[in-house]
Amino acid sequence: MSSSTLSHPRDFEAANLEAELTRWVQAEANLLDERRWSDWEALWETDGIYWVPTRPGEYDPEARVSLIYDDRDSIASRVHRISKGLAYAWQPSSEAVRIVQTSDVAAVDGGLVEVQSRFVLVVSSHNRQETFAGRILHQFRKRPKGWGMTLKRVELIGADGRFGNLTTLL
Amino acid sequence: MSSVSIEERYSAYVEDDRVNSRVYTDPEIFADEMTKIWERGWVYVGHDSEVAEPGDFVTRRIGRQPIIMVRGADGEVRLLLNRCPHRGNTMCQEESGSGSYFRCAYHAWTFNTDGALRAIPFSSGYGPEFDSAALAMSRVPRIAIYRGFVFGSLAVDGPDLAEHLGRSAQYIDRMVDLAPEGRIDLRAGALKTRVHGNWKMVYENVTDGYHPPFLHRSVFADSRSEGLVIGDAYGDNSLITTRDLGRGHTMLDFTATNRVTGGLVFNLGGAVSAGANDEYRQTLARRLGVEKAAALLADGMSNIGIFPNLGLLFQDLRVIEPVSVNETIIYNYPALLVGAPKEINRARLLQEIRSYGPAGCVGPDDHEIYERNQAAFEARLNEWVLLRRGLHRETRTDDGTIVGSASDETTMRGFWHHYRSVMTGV
Repeated sequence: MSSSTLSHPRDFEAANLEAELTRWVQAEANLLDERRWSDWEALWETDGIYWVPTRPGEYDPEARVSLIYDDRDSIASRVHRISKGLAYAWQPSSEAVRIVQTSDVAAVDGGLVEVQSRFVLVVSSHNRQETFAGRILHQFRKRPKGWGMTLKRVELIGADGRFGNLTTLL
Repeated sequence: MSSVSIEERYSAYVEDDRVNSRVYTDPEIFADEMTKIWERGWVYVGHDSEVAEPGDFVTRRIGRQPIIMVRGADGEVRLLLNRCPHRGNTMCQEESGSGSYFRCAYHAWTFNTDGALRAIPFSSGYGPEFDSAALAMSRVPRIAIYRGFVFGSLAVDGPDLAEHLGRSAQYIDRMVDLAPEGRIDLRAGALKTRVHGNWKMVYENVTDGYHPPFLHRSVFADSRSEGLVIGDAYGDNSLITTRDLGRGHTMLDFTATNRVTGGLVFNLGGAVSAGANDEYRQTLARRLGVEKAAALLADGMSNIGIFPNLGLLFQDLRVIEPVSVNETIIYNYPALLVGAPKEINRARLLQEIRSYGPAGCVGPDDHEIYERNQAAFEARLNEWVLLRRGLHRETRTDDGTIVGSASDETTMRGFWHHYRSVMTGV
């Protein structure tokens, strides 16, 4: 959507929503870059789903493998495993930087807002550097303050290929 | 390069209670393994559910050799070399697909799904003596299917599959019999991981009962406690045993603990409702009878290594594909139970992807260790890997199975004993 030809109050609302959620997606990326794991975990709604499919497009994640398909409990386990330093696959801790570019913000059913982005992530771990890239679909639910994540679906480029270590949060 | 001949290397490097780390790093040994283990013996290639319909195919490897597993128009599963007999192009580039013929991209030689030559462009260029029957795609000389598990052997002669599987076959039965219809389905796909480590470490790890509470502490400690919570599951009083089943097949036997705990040590796939469990029990009993179904469910699954490239670990079917002496691809398939309630298979699928693959909470720690091992195997001050744990306390059953305690290295000794015999021909 373009913000250069606003002519109706609803367009202003939409532009504000777009700007706010674009900032929100950036803020989420910053939390991950800064390794603020528990702050990141707190973004998740209780019905949140963190999904990294093995192929683009919709499929039933309960009938076909995905690289990650976490409900809120599994997200908590994942964060616990990383933040407590218990995972050998995560030692020494990785450094990461993300560039996220939001392309679309749209309200969908159920009071949710969907945000589509593209990203490039560079992770350095064990003196090895790896690059991941792809598309992200976020779904947010309004909270009294800010927004909570109900879905983060990360479509990795080459998702059906062979990966080394994907312990990093995407 | 080593000045020691390849035959002499095996007796020098593989002892009864230790192996020299050069077995994981020597490229000449890797090349020799490709010939003696992967091209002479039986190798797991795929599962017939992956090629359910006529024309369905998947591409695989037997050792380093490219293979197509295809269900022909006649319904029969075949293993063809993924190579055009004309000028040697790979015929199929995709990991899976479906079609009514194979056509080479280079010169359009076209073959039926059974590998027979169907047509070539400008065939008069071959003269009147041209024998199209002799120009089929090469078939893997031997194929055998055991309860849906497709094995191939690139050798024309040798022991049959039943002899190769030996005492491991009963655990394929166990996995498959847990399905109400007596069939598993691998069509949920595989998690694929590339590790910079030798394939043999991946096989050894399938039935290593010493490492779980330590290496996988992040799972064992997932009671959200700050410290380590290492239970007695694998300790000195454990009911778990390690078993050398012979012919390189190994087992980390959970049967006795399964009978006590009712199954899993941990369950990452989410709880299964009592209703779904009852339904599962009942559908299983319809095929097997109440008593046999109850016994099977009580025994549950264990970890099984089937030499040289297959692991069965509860819901996980693990396939090991060697790439080079220091690179391996690991495939983790959730084995779904045909006829089981959706909730049961959902839990199996989720447990699989939350455990294994490049982003699970179990597999990546193993993968990390393979790579650390591979790096340390370059050390020359001390080259030995010790495998003597439990040697003093193992026993032998009537059928020849050697049994050790949960954390004993009985299974590795079994693997290496067979390895040495295959590699030296003795």
